[in-house]
Amino acid sequence: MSILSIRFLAFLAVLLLIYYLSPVRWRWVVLLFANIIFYLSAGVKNAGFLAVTTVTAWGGARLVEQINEKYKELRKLCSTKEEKQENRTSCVKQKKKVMTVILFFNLGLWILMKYFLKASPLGISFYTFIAMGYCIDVYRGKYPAEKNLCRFFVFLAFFPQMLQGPFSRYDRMKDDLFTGHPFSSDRLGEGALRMLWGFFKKMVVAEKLGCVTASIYAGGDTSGGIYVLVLLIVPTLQLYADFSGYMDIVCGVSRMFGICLQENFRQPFFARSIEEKWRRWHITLGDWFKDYIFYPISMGKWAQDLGRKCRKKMKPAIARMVPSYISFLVVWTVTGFWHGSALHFLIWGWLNLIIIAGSMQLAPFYAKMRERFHIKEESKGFILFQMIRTMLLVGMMSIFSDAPSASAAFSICASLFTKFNWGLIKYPLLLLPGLEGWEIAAVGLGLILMLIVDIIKEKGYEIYSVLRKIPMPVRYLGYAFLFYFVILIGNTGADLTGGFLYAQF
Amino acid sequence: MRSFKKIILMAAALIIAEAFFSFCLEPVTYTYYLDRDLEKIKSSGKEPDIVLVGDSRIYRTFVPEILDERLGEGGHLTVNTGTGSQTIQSSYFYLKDLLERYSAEYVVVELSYDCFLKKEQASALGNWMIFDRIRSPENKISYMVQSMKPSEWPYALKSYRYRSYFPDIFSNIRMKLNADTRAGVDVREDEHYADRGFVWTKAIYEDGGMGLPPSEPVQWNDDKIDPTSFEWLDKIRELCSRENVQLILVTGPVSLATIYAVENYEDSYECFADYAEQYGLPYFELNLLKGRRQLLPDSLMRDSGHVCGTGAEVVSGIFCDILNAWLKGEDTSEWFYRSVAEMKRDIGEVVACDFHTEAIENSSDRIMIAQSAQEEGQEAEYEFWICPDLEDGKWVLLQAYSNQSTCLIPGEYFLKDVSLRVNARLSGSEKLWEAYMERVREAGA
Repeated sequence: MSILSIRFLAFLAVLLLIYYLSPVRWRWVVLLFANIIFYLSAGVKNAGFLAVTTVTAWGGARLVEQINEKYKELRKLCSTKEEKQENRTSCVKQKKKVMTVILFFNLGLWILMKYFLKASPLGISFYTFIAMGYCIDVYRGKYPAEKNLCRFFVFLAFFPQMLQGPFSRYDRMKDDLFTGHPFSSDRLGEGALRMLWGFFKKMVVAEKLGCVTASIYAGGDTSGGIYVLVLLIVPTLQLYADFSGYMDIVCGVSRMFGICLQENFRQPFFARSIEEKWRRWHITLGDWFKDYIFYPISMGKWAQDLGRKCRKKMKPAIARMVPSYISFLVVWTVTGFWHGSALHFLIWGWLNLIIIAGSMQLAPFYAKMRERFHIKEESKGFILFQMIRTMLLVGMMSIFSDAPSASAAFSICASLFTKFNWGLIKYPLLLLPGLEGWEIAAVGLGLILMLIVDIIKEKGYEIYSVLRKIPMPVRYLGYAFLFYFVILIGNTGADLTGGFLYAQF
Repeated sequence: MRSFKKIILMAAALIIAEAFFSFCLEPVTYTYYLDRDLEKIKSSGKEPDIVLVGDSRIYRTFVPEILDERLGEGGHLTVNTGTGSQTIQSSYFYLKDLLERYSAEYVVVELSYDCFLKKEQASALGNWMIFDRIRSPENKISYMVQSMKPSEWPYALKSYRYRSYFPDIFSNIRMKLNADTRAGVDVREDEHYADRGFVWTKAIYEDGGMGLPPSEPVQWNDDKIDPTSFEWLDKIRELCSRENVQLILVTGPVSLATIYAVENYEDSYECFADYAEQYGLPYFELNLLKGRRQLLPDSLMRDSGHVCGTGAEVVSGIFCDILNAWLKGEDTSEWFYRSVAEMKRDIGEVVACDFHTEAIENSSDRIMIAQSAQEEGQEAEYEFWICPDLEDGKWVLLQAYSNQSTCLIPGEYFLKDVSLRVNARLSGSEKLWEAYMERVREAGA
């Protein structure tokens, strides 16, 4: 059931009615059935994989907790320090065993389905990682394991987040999910508005820009040369409108139920460096890799040993960097691999690494340059330059993630210098193939609206409170026009070029 | 109370947005002009007494003014409410609404053979035009629920229905604000709304040059008949009987080539004639008019399925004469051929021809392939011509009349734009009549 379909909206309407008519303490059960219906609508086979992940992750975490409890009991019986230490080592060993089996099983299942059988069940890249994060948190003792399998299923398979995230954390969500909330028309309205905004971003902006990207990648006259410059901008804007549009829809849906999902975007085009961009773009994925891969590697025992060994053979400044860069390399390789097993995804990951590492290394040089040319780091002009530079770098890297293969990505980049169609610059409309003039105007209007919203958010204002300052009739007229833009201009039903871009991962 | 105020405000905002977008997107259709005419009639205190319903063959064929003057003793007031691809079901609902508004004396319903066949997809736009024209909310809802699938219901919003008209938004607005349009005058040249639903179109063809129908016509056979169409026709009949209105069934003229292309056209005629006979209704199949080829030559056609404006005047006049004869109780069967076969026998000519060219493998030469429409069992002969220099305009005979339907054209002719022509006549015919087709073929096309 696509969340862009009328069916989904009908499902949501019925669900909201049942949810708010049910007693508060039983509302999570309504969500449980909603998850089951939503996932079964994608096929029983898909549901089977979700069930396996749910049961193994829940069972694994429970087992870890039982081991903890058992050793806590045993600890009381230990009289000497040595005995306590032995008891602790034995506990950690057992927990590690359980964790290793659970993590390798789920990771293996994910790799098998996604990369070998090429038959990814719906949302497997998201729920597998959410489940693994939960298990690791329980293993680390961050919070106790959930005792009730059904409640754990409500968290893991929460239907709005199941297809493309965000990568939620159990401790942040559990209260929202299980406490139940009284009905609030304000919250319902705000959720609906956020959904509408998401539909606008996806169906009007992303879908139309997708026609341009598809036309350029399709080859022929509308590819290569000057069109590579278009590829530096359009696909990134498309992906942002697509993915953040999806996030707005699912956050809006969740808000209607009184559930607050973690934000996945924080105005990424205001980032002044690639590193900052990753703190603003797909935030929950970045946090996941940071918490469960980067920190364990860079702060682990082996990293400290490696640092010590390096210090003996290298200059201290370089020796300090080795463990960090190895951790970076692992993280970016895994990030590339998470997006796809093809070489071009790995190259995309490594390009991110090279630019981030290069920026870190060149930071003193940049500082000197700024000093020499009397550039104030916080001047508006310089900030704008950094933002545009970051956006173009992101666009350049996106060629490697979007192109069908690594060689295709390289030949697209090379065509910038080999295909001489620069005369087209005189005809800007021709640079956006696949769109008619009025569609370009509609997309332009959409992008301006998105920019205004992002500026308001970047300045630290809460968007709903800003909207509330506008007189009610004007505001409602604005909502009505936004709704009409979506149904009239947006690609709907059969016109949709496909699902959401991130769903493919 | 606060929530109620919010709901009211939101509903008002949505209505304003709908009005704005439908004004911008909805093109000026014939419905706009017809509505104005009906308002004028209403304000003059008169009531239409002749109502015509049906598909595009109705609104392009019957001139209300002619019917007003020439039917019976004259003094009638006719409205032509045909719409493109109107189904019998739509006709029923529309007629029901019209008869609630007017106490008509005669209702003319068009029986197009293709309106009675099962359709993969009905023309949504045509059906929704009827929805717009129906006035009573009760009839509107009943029509929508019974005729449209729930997935089509969003089309009730004009803005949504015409959302593909975004590129024409400025020309739509310009046209709506145009003084002539606001005065109810359609200033479009080649085709325009004339009066009380009748649409006038320019003649396009010369006699003999209309060619075969551009696409394969839907064939009539028992498997393809939609049984519900006859149920809706029954309802129309019952409605007219209830309202004490004389129902007249008619089939508007299509091109002769179309009749020849529909293999079982005879069956469709017999089916409608039997229906009319069973219920004692008058039925006039205007395609079977005696002397049809001379009365309605290709030069009176707009395309293969409709007559042009002048053709409409001719047909309307003939139709009035036939109706007058019928009203007087005369036998009108003498006006018509008894069957399609009889008509074909009487015509005894190639009624239309066409051609296309095909490339020859490993050669720059092309082959010209001719087709024609004539009575089954008869053979046509063809003559092939080329005009190698369009400026000069001189024709060169490629192949004289023969039974060969193909002709080789040397590749050298296709280096620039050329004009090609095929003439066709019946083998051994001594008649002067020729069908022809002429087209320009662009170099390199």
